[in-house]
Amino acid sequence: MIRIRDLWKRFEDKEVLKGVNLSIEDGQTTVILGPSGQGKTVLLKTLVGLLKPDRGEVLVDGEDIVRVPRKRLFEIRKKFSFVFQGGALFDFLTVKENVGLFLRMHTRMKEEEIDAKVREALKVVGLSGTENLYPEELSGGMKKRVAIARAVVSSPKYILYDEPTTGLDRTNARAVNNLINKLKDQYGVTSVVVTHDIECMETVADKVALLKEGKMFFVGKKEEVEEKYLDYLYKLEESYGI
Amino acid sequence: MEKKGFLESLGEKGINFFVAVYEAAVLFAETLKQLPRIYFYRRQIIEQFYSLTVSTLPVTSLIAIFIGLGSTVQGTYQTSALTPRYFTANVIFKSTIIELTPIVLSLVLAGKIGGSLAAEIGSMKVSEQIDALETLSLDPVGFLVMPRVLAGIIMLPVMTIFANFLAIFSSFLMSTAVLHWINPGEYVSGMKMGFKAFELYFGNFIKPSIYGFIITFSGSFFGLRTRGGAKGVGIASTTSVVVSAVLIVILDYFLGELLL
Repeated sequence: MIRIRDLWKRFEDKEVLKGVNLSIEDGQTTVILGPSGQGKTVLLKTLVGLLKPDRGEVLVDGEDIVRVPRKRLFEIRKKFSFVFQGGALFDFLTVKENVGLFLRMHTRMKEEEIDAKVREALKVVGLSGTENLYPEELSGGMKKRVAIARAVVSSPKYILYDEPTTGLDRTNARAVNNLINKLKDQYGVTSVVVTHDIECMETVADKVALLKEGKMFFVGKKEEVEEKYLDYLYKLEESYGI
Repeated sequence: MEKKGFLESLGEKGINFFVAVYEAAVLFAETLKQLPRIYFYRRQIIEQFYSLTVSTLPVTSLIAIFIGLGSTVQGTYQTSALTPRYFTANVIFKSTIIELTPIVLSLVLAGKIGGSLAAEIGSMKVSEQIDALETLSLDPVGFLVMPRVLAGIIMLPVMTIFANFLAIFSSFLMSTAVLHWINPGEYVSGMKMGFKAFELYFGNFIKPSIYGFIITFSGSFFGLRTRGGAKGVGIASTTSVVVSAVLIVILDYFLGELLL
């Protein structure tokens, strides 16, 4: 379980997070929804220690990752996988090397075992046969799915998705949404999805947190959001021209 | 936006300079801290050794041959007919090994390796690949910086030895077989005259390993400091080349002054 308590973060003279509180329950998909520039990605990055908050706690299974030494932080991070908005695939590595990097660096698995795991992960995301391609040879949707395969291969407890459907056409966006559900159902992964995409929220969320101007103004079930904040959702869609 | 005054702008530049020096010192300490993890990052280190050698071999060979030819033409032109020929050969040999090859090669490689290294790490930074390394529990300094710096320190002397050999060989051929201004025996006597083993060590190991460190460390440092998009990557690459070239030229003087 991840518990965020009174999280504050400022960049120069802009206060991005203003006392955020949120609990992320195991085995569930929590969607953090909000317009651009409200601190969604900043919040997601503080969950894995990529950004250090000015104040507050991020308790991962009871351990405050804000205050642990760097060596311990690296150990805690092994529980996580992060799917970046643009995929963040290493462009000097092939798909196979990208997906297998964690296993190659952190386990004593033999090359054949790693290859088998990589093939399995690529099969889960529907990209079998792309092992020897480089990221530049992949489409945007394929890059995202390879990034998800890289996230899955280490069997993490938590997967964090930063705008997983942004920049994708409807078909690819639906494929990614279905993948997020598949990983929760098949592997019991706890997911945190940061998005402004209402369809993504409707497809994957168990719990929704609405973030506006650095504060959570609603946390609850998907049905409650649709019931109480329908206007907000319409406005959010309109602001993105959806 | 309000325009800054001269003093304010100067003060800001001064502060930025000291912040950069502090950050470079921190990166240096972090690189040293990663040294015990050489075995963990062995693949990356081997890759860097290989890529540094293979990617620079053609340009190194070309430069070395022309350093040898150029120094021969200059040497024979600048010494008078009364100067003993073996003495001219001695000047060509020593100036090539101690000064010309290490500095020219390092300046060219500062552009080739340092620039591309800063651009590579810089583009990784702006496309969140550095963050991705962190989330995979891999330290970017261990994964990217330490292998490159180590490759620079070790492989630049190797490339310099190779270049020195080519330069002297081309000078020898030019002098004895093309220009015919000296016979092979005299050329070799010139090389042996006043020979000190330290000079070989100085030109082939001390200078190149220091310059190799400057090139790779500066490329990594400015790459990691990249902000913004493509423009930021361009700035990082150019700054890395300029800083390492300036440092190499300055250090070249001080190393000669202190050690020779």
